[in-house]
Amino acid sequence: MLFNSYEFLIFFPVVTVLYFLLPHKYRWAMLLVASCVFYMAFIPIYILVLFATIVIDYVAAIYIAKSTGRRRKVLLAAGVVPIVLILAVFKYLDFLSGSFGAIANAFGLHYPIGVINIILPLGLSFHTFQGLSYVIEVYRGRQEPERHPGIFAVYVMFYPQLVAGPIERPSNLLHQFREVHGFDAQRVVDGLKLMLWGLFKKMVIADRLAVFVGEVYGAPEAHSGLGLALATLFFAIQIYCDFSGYSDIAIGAAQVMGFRLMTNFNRPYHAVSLSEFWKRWHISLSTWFRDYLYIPLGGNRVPKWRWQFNLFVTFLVSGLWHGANWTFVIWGALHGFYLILGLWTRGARETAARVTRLERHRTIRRMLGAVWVFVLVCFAWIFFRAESLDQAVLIVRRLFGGWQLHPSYVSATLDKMGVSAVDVVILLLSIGFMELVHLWQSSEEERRLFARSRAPVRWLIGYGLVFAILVAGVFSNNQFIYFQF
Amino acid sequence: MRRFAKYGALFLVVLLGFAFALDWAVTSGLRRSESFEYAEWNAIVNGEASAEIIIHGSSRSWVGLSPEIIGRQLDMTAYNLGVDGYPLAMQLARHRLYQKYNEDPRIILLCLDTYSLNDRADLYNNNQFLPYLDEEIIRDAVQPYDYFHWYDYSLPLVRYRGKVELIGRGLAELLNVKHYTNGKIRGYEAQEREWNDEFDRWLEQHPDGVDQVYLERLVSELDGFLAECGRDGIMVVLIYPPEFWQARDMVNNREEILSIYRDLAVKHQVQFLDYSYDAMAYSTEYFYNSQHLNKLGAEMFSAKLGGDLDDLLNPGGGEAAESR
Repeated sequence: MLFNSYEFLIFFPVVTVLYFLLPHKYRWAMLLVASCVFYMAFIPIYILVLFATIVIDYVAAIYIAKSTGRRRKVLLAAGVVPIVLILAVFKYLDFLSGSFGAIANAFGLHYPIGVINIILPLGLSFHTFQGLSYVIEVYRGRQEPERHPGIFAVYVMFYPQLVAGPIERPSNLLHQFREVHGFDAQRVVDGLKLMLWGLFKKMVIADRLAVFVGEVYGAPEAHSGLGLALATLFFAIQIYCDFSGYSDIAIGAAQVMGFRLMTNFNRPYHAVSLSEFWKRWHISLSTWFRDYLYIPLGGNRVPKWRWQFNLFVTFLVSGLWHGANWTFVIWGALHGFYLILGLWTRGARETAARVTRLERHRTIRRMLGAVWVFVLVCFAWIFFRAESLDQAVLIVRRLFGGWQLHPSYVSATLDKMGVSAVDVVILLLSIGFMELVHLWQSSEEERRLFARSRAPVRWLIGYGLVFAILVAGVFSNNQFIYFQF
Repeated sequence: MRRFAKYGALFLVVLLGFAFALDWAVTSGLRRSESFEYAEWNAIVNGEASAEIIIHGSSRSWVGLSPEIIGRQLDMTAYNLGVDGYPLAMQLARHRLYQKYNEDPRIILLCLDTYSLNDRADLYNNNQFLPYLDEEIIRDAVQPYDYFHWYDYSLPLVRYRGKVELIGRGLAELLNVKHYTNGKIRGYEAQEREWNDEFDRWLEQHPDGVDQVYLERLVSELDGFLAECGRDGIMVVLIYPPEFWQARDMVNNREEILSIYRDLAVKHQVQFLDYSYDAMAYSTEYFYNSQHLNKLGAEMFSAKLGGDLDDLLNPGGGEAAESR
């Protein structure tokens, strides 16, 4: 079930009302059933995969908690390996098989295994990671194993964050299913506002941009450098609005019922360095990799070369997590490379700032930094969005040719992308409004000012959002980009 | 909880109020429009389409039959209500709506082809129906396509969701900022176009021709329509306008379909004027593609049809015939 579907428009209020009507002791069961319904709206049979991962995590954690020493490690492996194998089979088998086939072909060898075309169970990468974090936390002794199978199942399956996160940690979410959530009008209103905001980003901005991005990335050879650059810029905004929109709806839906999910995005394109970008983008995943891969590898408390190696490996794996395609691997590698380059050039950049006296102009320096980070991130998005490595290389090659900033050329380029004057107006207004909200979110004082503003003002903004979605939204039930991961 | 429910309800009521107002504004504006999609529908629902001769059909009708020429020859008023892209079912729905708001015509010219008794899978150009979803006739006509849902009919503004340009057009019409028009004159628009390569491409894809589907349901509908017109004293003339001969011969079951038209014509004692073997059918000069007449072809055909109708109406050489 999509958050931007009519089914969800019925599903959400029904589940929420039932949640508040039921006595606390039955709420977990209702949430579990609701989550099953939500998940089975996609491919029902895949619920069995989900159940299998839940059973493995549940049993492994209980036995890990009971055991000590080497047996504890063996049980950890027994909990982690099957989950990783499930992920590998569904997500990477075709990729690995295809890659082996290509290598075999290159050496003139016969490789008999063809592509199986397995359909990836929805949200597999998300809920398996959530389950893994639970098992690892139990192993580390930071989390008591959950003995109630129903509550554990609903922790993994909690419908708002089941298919695309945020990837929660047990320490944040698990205990919340035992809390009694009363009806708090202000909290409910805040949750609904967040959901509305997420829908606005998804339906008005992301889905509108998706059409133009699809047009250009569907046939990049037919577009000029300017068209490709614009499509890449559009994709950067699309993926942010799509994924952060999803996260807002998820966090908002949970908040209405009294659950506090972790923040997943914090104005990432305002970051002034790549490391800051990764503290603001898909926070639940980047912190997962930090906690369960980067730090276990040694983090930065190792020799410098090893530190850089750890960074690179973490981003390489993060790229692979996103999808079974070399484009994602390159995307991850690029980000790893950016960070390492940032370490190498830190001194030179400080010196340059001193020489050019930019260090005295903090705001300008920060703005330049944000622009530079945005350009680097956009460049990496080419690999993320391209359908193949060849296509990505073609786009990069063509990116620097066919640039004219003459208004008629820009207009012709937009025409070719299918962008109409109305689209330009809608996008400028909606993205401008989003940036205003971002500025407001960045200042505590502004936020308080808004909270204190009169009800008609707040209502007017609410109506504005509803009508913006109704009038300028795209109603084609577009999936969220991160559903494919 | 009670306070939340009170304010929530108030919020929703105000929201619905705004939505009703905007829905009304957009619908009212679009119902003034004379743009391609809305001109004929608006003429019909505003009672401005009344004419002695009504021409029904698909695009072959609105590009091929000039009401001005036909009307002049018969000394009657005429209106072409051909509905673009739709076969018989939608054409008859348009007629029913016409009857609801306009005076009954004396003569109905119904343009047929081998596709008339088929149905299309999609609700083509569905925006054209939006301002009229409160009309039961339109609701019934679009219902089989399963395109609109209960919320489109019941909730204000939802039918216009995401259609920002259409909403803008409706408001512009309402506020007299801009009036949208189109090139049609009483439903007819001459196509100043030359023969294109559409047919050649079609021929490449269908070298063995096609079997055209016809639906018994639509045969019955046509049967019922002819019977009803007979009861109401409306004269119906079935017309098969010229189509390019090569395309004509590529419909494998053409005779089968035409025999349905002939049988119905005999059953209801109406005329069936078949121009598919007319001399015009053999020259690309009169067409812009295999199915559609261009300006030259349409004007020549309309004059020919007008003359034939005059002969039919005035077998002894009536006034209109004499003045020619």
